[in-house]
Amino acid sequence: MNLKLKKLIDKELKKYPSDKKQSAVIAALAIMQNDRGWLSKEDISEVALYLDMPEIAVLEVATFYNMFDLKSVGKYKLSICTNISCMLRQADHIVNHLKEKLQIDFNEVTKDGKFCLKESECMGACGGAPLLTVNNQKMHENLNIDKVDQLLKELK
Amino acid sequence: MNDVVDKNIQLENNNKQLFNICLRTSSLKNPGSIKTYQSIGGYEQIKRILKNNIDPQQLIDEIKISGLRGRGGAGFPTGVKWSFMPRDYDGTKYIVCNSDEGEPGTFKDRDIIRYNPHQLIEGMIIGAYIMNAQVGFNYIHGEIWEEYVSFEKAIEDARKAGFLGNNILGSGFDFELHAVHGYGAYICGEETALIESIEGKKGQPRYKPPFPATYGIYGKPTNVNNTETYASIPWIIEHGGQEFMNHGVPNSGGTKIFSVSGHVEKPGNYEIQLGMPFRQLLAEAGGVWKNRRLKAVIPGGPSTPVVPANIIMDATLDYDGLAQIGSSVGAGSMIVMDESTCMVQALRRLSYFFYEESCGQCTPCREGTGWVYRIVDRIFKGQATLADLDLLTDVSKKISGRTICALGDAAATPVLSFIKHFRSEFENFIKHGKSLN
Amino acid sequence: MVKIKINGKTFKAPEKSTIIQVADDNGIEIPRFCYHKKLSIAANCRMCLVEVKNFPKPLPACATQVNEGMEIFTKSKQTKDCQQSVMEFLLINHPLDCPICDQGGECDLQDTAMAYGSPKSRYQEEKRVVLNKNLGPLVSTDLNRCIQCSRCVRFLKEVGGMQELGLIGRGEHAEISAYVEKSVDSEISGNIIDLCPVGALTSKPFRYSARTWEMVRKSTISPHDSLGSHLEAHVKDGNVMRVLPKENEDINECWISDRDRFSYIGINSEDRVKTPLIKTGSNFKPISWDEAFHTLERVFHPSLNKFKEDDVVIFSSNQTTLEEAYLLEKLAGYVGTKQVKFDAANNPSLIANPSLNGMIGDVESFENIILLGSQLRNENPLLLQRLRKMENAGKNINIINTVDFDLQLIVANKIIQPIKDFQKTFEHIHKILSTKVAKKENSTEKNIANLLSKKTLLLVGEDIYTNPAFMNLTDVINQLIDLTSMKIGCLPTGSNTVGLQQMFGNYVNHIDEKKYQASISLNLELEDIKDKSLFERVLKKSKFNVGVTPFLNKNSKQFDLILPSTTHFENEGTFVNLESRVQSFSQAISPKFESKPLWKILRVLGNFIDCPDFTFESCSEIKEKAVKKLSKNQLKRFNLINQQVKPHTKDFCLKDINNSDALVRRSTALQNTKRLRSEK
Ligand SMILES: Cc1cc2nc3c(=O)[nH]c(=O)nc-3n(C[C@H](O)[C@H](O)[C@H](O)COP(=O)(O)O)c2cc1C
Ligand code: SF4
Ligand code: FES
Repeated sequence: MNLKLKKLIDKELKKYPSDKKQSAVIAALAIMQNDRGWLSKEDISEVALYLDMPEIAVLEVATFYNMFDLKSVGKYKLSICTNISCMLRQADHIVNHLKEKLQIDFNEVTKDGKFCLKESECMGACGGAPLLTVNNQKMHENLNIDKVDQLLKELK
Repeated sequence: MNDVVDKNIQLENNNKQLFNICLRTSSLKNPGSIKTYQSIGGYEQIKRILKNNIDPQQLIDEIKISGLRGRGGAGFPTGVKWSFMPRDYDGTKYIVCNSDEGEPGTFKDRDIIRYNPHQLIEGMIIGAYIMNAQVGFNYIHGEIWEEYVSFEKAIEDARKAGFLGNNILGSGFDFELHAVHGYGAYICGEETALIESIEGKKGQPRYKPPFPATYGIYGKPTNVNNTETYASIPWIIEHGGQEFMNHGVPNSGGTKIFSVSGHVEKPGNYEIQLGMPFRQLLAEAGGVWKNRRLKAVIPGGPSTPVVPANIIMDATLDYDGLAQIGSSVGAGSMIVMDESTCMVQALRRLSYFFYEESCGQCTPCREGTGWVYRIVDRIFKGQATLADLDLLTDVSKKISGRTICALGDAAATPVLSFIKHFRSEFENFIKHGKSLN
Repeated sequence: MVKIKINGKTFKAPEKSTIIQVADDNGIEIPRFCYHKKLSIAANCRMCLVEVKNFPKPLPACATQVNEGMEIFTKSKQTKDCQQSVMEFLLINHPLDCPICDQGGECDLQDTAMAYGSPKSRYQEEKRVVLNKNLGPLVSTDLNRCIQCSRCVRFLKEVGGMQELGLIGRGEHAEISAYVEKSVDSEISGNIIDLCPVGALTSKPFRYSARTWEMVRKSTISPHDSLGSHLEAHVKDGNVMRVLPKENEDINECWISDRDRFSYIGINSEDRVKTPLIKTGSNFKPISWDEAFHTLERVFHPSLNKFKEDDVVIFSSNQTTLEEAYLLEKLAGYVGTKQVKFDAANNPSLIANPSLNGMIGDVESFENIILLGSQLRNENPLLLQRLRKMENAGKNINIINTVDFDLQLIVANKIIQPIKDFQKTFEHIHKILSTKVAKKENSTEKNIANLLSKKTLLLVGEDIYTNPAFMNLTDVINQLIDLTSMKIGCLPTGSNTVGLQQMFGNYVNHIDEKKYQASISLNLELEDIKDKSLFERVLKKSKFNVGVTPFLNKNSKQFDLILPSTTHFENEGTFVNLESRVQSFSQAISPKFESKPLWKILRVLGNFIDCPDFTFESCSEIKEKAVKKLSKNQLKRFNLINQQVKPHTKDFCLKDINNSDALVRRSTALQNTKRLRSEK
């Protein structure tokens, strides 16, 4: 863990009492994941050490929350909501298009290691259905086939 | 009667309209900025309260008069809830804003954070003042990252302006507010799961009692409210409880945001005066899309029962109005389904959601949601028998009411209501492998 | 007290008790899986749901506190429906192959399903499959059977002091796991085997070796630490198949240490001495017991050899029973030696009656504990578990030690320093307390001094009170005792250290290095002895060395005659535990090979050398006499009994929990555990 990451985690730690470092575990794991793309065993151990937690308790958290990836997800993880509101607005068309175009199924990574497709539960933005996020951060709403193609082009 | 509703339809004895309270900055320029909020009188209420050292009880009474009910789904009267917080507790007390909306069809809190974060912050400061809490957290749904970032900025701006921190506006009152980011677990919307999550654990709901008001974050008294609930507070304090109440109907005071999604022309958030006829909201949302006919509506999110078009068409949108037709306001997450919707497929997706999102601690929920999903899946794949419908109903009933949190009940609700209203469609699917239409 | 009704009958119950506690106290059955009286309440299995009047929903009996006038129905239609449905839910993903499950016949799930379940299954989908995990040499997993009650996770976190297991994943996919490639290694981890209500966690060494109904249960007392835990050895065909705790709230509650649970594996070690052996040149030759006793007769019969009072030295272990010690002392007197080292492992002894000075449970009534020089995790893990409870209850655990051991609890104050500095520390504390002027000082000593205004117990570990440096400490500690209400207690490690001390009072344990005519070592191995080289030198110089031991090891060649004694499980006798409780145990199995219990060997030897008054018929006859010799004076201040001992070279003598005695050393399962500590 380099100084930059430590600083980011320290900022999160400030939100909680000094004897409750565990409170920052989700944030710390997210910071690690943003830096590395996914969480390896070593990353989890590092977080455990830094927050003074049993490793297994960190692993419990890392496996409970869906947005953590314990396997490589390529350069861009595309998480597409297929829940009811998106389903009603034909998210399946987008999904099929992406699967075909990228030649992968859900939870797979393209051969060039660039894209990974994830099926996601409701993202709390159903007014913009169908939608997807890139690497857990950037949301793209009101998708159609053209927009998806455009997006894939932009993601270098 | 299932026809697309005419926008201009006039309903007798009802003058309820769209009215922005929580979203009142949304039409202004640069809506989320502190400047914009202050330009419409923002932060004046907390200034007034602190300056005059207003008795918290007086403020609670005002909130009770307003008829404000929790907007997170359960609809518990907010004024009553706030009076549960122990007054003279020695030590830190916490208040939490629940912005973890993750129930399918819910997306209102996101817009409050985007367009009117300072009203939420002011609401929380007032809440902290009333309940004498020193620390607040806003727990924001994991999938909306940009809003988390923008809310952190809003907190920073409020702090710079002197509304957060120690000795706020020289009053001697201290309050710190922090944003917390979830990471993909619907269950963390449940208030005790959310508390566990803030403590850095798996988001598994706690058995209640003890309730958060006596044993919350780190075992300290904690109050949890929905984003919209807190965001309503400054307006209520500004205009008085009665004025808020007048915007709604008796027992359903004020305005409420309905997040309309699915098969409408203009999906989005509509803040309505409670009591508005369903027809009118549907019209506001542009009516059913593609000129199709309405089939069914889930008025308040999947944990509220689905209602067929013919029943909902004449209903009014308020706590009693929806209760009368066997459903409820929930979080106001209205999912509209047109005539082309396959109810088996819709139920299958919803069942999958609850199966996927069960935290897994209670036996009936952990095992039952998976079982339910698999049966619906079998129906969808044409591998079921008619007896499976009864099994489905029975299994769902045996989850409901027997778990730690209400996710178990929520998971049973779509199954029971879908089968109740659309049994023949399910039977048809079992017999012929497809829906009626 | 509140009055409630269960099934129409009125009961009185303490306020704040839960429905399940009231039901348990009154013999009313409520099925449960996640609830365990010693663990936090999870209320997750939902098996204990009961109907309660005026509540629309059924309530979990394990988590619901009773209120005045509450009416509970444990057999109503609603309750039964809940029980049946929860049972059905639990079984849908559970394999239905009890005959091949190791838990079969003693499975809570099986029993509960019989009593509360419904006979037919309506589940036709595929069952969940969970891969098994390697949790180390003690606990075996069959995770398809796990019902996610979280008892094991809660135990290791709350009682074991370290979260070694977790439920990873979410919902139906959640599974029990240790951290990647880790095992469970806490000193008391084996208790999760008993806690698991199904066959998901079972004993690895015991796996598939016997069915519950094939075994006879024999009670015994733990020989491995001074707590005196109550054990139950399960015996089949003359072999101990496994050891389980026998509940005793005052002592071990419902737990035992892994050492107690798995030491039995050593019984059948290849090292067992099968017959008496006599040295011929550099080899040993088997001989009969008769020949062996004749050999002993030739050396020790007073008519053949008149020994001076320090011609013969006898080394006994701290596991020697009262009966054996009684015979030993008589024999020694008869032979004419005064050199009996009753607790040779821990020479030298400095103070009289090193016991807890109270009952085990009383420890929990103190507000503060100061642990002086003890490594409780290795010595007495179940007592440590009680300190953990205290820490959880907001009490202060403080440590003064030479080595910074991780006790897996939150320590309030800690001072780690060389033993020579202990005196200064205590003097400092004393000074803070005795000079009334409140000094503005910010130190750990000050913090500890402040604690002494509340009920405090100073617990001194064996390594300190047997260390000559302790002589310098006694004065200042005694002054502190006079100045405050601080109480003291000692933490002996041997299962009968206290009994031996109480029997012989101020016996001197210090070993004089000189040339002896003969030595006898009783159930001791070199590894047990603190000053190993001294012991080796003494044996080397001595003319004739007798070793009475169940096992051979690389040091056995120092003996001239080896007699096969039994292990604990083949023996009977009496121990006195650290709280001065006298506890007898009987044989669990008969002696292996030609081995004999030590008391019998001594008894026969007495006859061979014509020792008078040596006609005991049974062990209990000896016990009667032995117990009379116990003196139970409480230790209120430290008083030195031997001031002539030479200083130790080492500050601390580290002994791993799995290296504490010959039997433990031969339990392959225990030896294969990855101990948490790496220093050795
Ligand atoms: C499974 C489940 C999910 C929930 N999700 C949310 C949520 O996303 N947002 C929310 O405000 N309340 C949610 N709730 C309700 C909260 O537990 C709690 O009642 C609410 O935050 C209280 O705020 P209110 O009184 O302002 O409504 C959920 C409840 C359950 C059982
Ligand atoms: S009902 Fe489901 S989600 Fe709620 S606590 Fe129980 S298992 Fe978890
Ligand atoms: S024993 Fe009460 S819920 Fe498990």
